[in-house]
Amino acid sequence: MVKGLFRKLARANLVRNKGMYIPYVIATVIMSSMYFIIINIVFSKSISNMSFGPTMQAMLTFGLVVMSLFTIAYMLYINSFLIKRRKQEFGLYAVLGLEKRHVGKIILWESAMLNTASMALGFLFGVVFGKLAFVLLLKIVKTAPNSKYVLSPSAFVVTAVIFAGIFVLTTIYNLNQVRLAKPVELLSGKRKGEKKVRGVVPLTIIGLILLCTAYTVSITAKIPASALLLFWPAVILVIIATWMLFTAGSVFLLRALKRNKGYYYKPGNFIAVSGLMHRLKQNASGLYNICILSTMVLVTVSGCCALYFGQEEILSVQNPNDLVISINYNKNYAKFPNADKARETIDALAREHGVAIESMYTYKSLSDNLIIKNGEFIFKNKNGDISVGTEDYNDNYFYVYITTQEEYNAVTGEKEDLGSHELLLLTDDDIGSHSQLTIQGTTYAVKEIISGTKFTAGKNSVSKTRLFIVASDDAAALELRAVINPSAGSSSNDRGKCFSFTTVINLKGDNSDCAAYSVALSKQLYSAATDGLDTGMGYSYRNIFTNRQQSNGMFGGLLFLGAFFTILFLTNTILIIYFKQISEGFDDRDRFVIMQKVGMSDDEVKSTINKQILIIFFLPLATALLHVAAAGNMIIRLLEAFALFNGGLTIVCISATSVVFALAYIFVYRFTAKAYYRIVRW
Amino acid sequence: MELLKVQHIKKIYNTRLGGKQCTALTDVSFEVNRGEFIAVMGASGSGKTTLLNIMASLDKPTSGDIIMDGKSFGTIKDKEISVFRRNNLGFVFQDFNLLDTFSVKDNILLPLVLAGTPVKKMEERLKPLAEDLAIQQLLDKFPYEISGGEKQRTAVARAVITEPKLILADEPTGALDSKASANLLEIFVKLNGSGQTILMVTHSAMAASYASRVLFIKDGELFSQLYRGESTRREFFDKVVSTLSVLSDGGVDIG
Repeated sequence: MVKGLFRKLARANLVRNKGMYIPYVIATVIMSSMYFIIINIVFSKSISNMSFGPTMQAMLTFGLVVMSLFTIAYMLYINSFLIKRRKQEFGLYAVLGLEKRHVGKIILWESAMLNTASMALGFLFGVVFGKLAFVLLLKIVKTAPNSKYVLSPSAFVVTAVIFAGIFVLTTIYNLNQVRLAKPVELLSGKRKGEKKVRGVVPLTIIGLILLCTAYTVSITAKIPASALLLFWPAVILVIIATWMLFTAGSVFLLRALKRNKGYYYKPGNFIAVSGLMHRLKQNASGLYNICILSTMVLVTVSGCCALYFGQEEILSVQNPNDLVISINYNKNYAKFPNADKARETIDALAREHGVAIESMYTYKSLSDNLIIKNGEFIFKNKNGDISVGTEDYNDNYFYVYITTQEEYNAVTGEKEDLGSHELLLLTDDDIGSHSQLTIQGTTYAVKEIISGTKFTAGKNSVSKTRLFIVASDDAAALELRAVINPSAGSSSNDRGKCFSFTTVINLKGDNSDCAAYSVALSKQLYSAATDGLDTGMGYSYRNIFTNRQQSNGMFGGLLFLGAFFTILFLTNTILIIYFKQISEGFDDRDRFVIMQKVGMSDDEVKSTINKQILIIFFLPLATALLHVAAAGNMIIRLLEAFALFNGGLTIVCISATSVVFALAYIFVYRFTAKAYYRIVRW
Repeated sequence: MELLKVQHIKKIYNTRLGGKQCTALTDVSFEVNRGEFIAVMGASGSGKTTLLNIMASLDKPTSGDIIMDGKSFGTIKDKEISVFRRNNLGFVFQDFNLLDTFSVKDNILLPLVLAGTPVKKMEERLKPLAEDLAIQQLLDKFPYEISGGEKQRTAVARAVITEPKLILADEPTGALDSKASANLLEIFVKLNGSGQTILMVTHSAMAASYASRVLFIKDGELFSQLYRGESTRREFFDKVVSTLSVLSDGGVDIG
């Protein structure tokens, strides 16, 4: 055997099939370079040194694993598609006298060449665009770009291992295809009859029912909790329903059209209906996959976008004020202990960090919780439980803070004077009107329900889930607390049994300065306020600045991941559609010639095939857009669970994502249509 | 009564790069009379198929003209040519050329549907035809579900359902076994008996022996022709074979 023959044959094959293999290589290069970029970020030291770095890297790793599964499945599918088209060629080799192991060698050479080339290019583009992606990521997460872009050797190794694995799998598959096949089959095995679709009517009916159920669930979801609970069931219903309707529903519809003779036996409809029937039977599962994955991309990306662009709102909702520090004691103090020292610490640290204090106040309170449903107060029982359903618990839950008239007057500047069993209720939610409250048998008079006080309306947002109860004095407050929660104080570490002192500070300054200040102050304020006392019970704090850094990291990372996911998905989709178009093109060319002989003009043939291709191509997109439209309400509710209450923003994100996706899809269509027409060549 | 006049047809193909010229037909003239069943024979490369394509208006001659019922092919506009073909010609091909997306019934009805025929009329025409061709049981099957002979009968049904002036058959028995071939040719004879004009290109002397006249083509020219007259099929077959052996230097496959 001539040395290098197989290598030459392999190379000649690749060149001859370049219409197939160039797109394949391009796709592999895109995917491997994207992998490399992401893995490089996952291994990046400068990212993991950031405060949110590890979270983001964990998220990227998770996304990477998910995408790996998709990519492997996709690559195997596309490969099987490629090799199927070449079966005749392998049959010819067998007839010409090449043994199967020779053909195997050719295949090995082919994969080796393809894979080395795509891997090398993948790394090249990965390195070139890696820097860009890195800078982009820093921009998205809004972090000062003092981080350095370093190529990590492990990124090369991991990428190489993953793609080598894919290549090994595809090669084994291809070798098996040749090994298992008989030459005669290989030569003639291109087309066998159509698949029979069984159970068209029941599948269509069940599919429609499932789809309607899922849509209804989505459209009627009213609260985040039920959206969270029902999201995945609805997704699964839609997936099953889509499969049924694509495989059976389409046949059902076309069959009905066929039975309507007056409609069917018209020149345009006749060919279109039969052609569509044939194409749908052949392509239903491919189209179904494209549809479901398009829907997933649309939902994921629009969700990520809404979270990213709505994060300021989320932050505001979660942080009515910039910085809140609560210090707990196990003794009841009338006044904030070490108040002067605390104030000193606050001011000194502010100077040190270069931030200005916009406003500040401290109040003491006892905290608990309860349910207020339709104006009815539901309190805890003796065991400290509130006996209501999960939905009420999630939806009508209130944090209750019991404070005194002295604190109220100090913070608001009012001059309120309450009687011993008289209360003020401070809330910004609608809890109905109450002139009195009866709690566990004790009746209190409600003097007034006040909204918009500093207690519930902060600098950043108005808190709707808090209720402040103002009692006349310390004793009344403590008594009220014991009534509201009979089990309070029974456990030794019950922080709520003594007054805690909450300091609310609003700041002006650079976010990272404010964040540093908040973190430093939380610790130092606690030590200042408990200095000399052996009774500190710890402290809790919350600030918008470190939250902002974290959400920049998290939602920015999500957005980045969403973009990565979309590019990978689009690459795969383009490839599948492209190959589908090409194989359709070969079949259509034969059909075209026959129709011409039977007496159809060029224009007629062109327009009817055009129409069919359009319908087939845009069916998955149209269905995906329909799914997304139906999912809109559910997405809005889901994002409310993330404290994003701006439904308008969510709708804008969904629409914008859909438009961009549709444009990309149309672009893909025009690109593949060109390849198609080149094959059919009229 | 002549139906079709083939006048001095010449066809020259240019090779793709335009360098060499290849003459497929040098000068062919003959006439087809109404109700005739003509077989055209010749060796591979003699120009049979080129001639058929030109007669089918699928290809244009370099010079010369074809006149059907007084209408010259050269004067038909490109846009009207497919309508003309649909209304006047029926085709039967070696490889059947059925559309795999259509059932047998729809394949047969295709030309009528394209012509905008009402459903009722289509079905009226289909029924007796399907019975004559013994395919009434197959109407709802798809081409990949039936045998070669059945496919070819379907193709014949599609060709005659428009009641064309002329049926053009290109090696119709080429892909059939001898039994199915004989069956198909009997059908042709029967159709011809009811007045249908048929022109069939073939390789096979056996197939040609069913015709009423055989034309022999050699190197792009009409070499000779043979009328059946009163002779039986067996006698005619012998005549065809002997003509073939004269025509070729023994190089013709006599089927």
